Amino acid sequence: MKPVLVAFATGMLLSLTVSAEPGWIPVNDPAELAAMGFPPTADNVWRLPRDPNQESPQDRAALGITPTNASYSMTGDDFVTISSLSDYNSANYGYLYCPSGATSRIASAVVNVPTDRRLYFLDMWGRDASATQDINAILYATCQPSDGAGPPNNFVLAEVTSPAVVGDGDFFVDDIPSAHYFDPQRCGYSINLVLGSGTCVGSDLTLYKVRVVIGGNL
Amino acid sequence: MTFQIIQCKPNAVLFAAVLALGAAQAEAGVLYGTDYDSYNGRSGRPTDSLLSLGRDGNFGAYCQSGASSGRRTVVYPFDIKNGYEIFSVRVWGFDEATSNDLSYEMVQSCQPFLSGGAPVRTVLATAASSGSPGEFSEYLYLDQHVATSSTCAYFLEARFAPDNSACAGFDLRSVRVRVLSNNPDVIFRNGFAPWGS
Repeated sequence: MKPVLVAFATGMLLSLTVSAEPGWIPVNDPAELAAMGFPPTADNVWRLPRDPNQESPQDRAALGITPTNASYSMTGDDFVTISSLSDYNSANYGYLYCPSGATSRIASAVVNVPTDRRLYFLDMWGRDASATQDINAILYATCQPSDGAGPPNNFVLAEVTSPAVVGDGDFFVDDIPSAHYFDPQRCGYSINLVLGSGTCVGSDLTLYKVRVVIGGNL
Repeated sequence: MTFQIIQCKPNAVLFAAVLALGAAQAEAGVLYGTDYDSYNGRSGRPTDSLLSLGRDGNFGAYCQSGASSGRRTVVYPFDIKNGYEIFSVRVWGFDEATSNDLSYEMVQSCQPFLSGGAPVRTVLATAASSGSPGEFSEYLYLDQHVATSSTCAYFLEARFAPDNSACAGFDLRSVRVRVLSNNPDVIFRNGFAPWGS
């Protein structure tokens, strides 16, 4: 009887571990990888599958701003360019854009989140006055073995893209991802920002702020 | 079979379930007030304008300076609350350089509380990659060092090469650093926040 019990307990442990890992979807389209800022041959990029029962963005207003949610806000000054040699401009307001004619248009920022809190929203404010290009921000988890060497894997948790030009171009967009709980023991969390898809267009594509909303007080 | 086990040993099954849940929570750093803070490699700050950093596909940083002048060190500042115990720092990186290794120093820099004075720099722990293993991970043990953030700053320095020496470029990358600290207050440490909400 005892070996059976041990096997049962072991099985429970394994099932807990396995059930904590959803069925991530690999990203292997070279064009999509390149647009995300990865090498076209990268084989370590994955997407969190969409929950068909998740709330729609239209449901968010009803949720309101509750005191049990915490926000991490990052303005342009919190981002570092993909190379420290890249040109950028904060427009004296903590914004971020890449000057017209520049070719380096990718930047990133760290998101420091507590263990086991749920990701609720990824929000972005900015200005998109370009008829041909957009601003894209992705919240990634980059994960490795918790206590040893191993290849990193990058998981797309949430993604926002600026909309078509409206008025002077100021916009707000948000994403309500599937349920996901942060695990900073195994993963680092970063926002990857891509300002357009070609040569930089200056302040026509400007980031104002990115906000990550999580469940629970800090 | 499972039904028979539950009938025979309900307490044992319950005990196993509690053990399993406890192990999962301890792994996640919940039971003991531990706090993991992860920083991607590119978030480090060059200590010299002559050090230019590039980014790999995993948000890791590498030194892309060709000129052999200036410092080759990147700093990761840590925001650790006063009174917290610093358990350890774990680093992940990539080293395929035969000429250079990536070395780390966890530093405490202190000054008087309410008066002027030069910062006193203390190296709390060190680690380094060795050879050219490819992916590596190193551990800096701090022996529950109690942070005195009222007078001290805490940061990790990652050195790609000795000062005024050539970098190894993409072959040497700082991918991620993680600091593990602990709130010693066992009652009020989470402000009664709803866990897992």
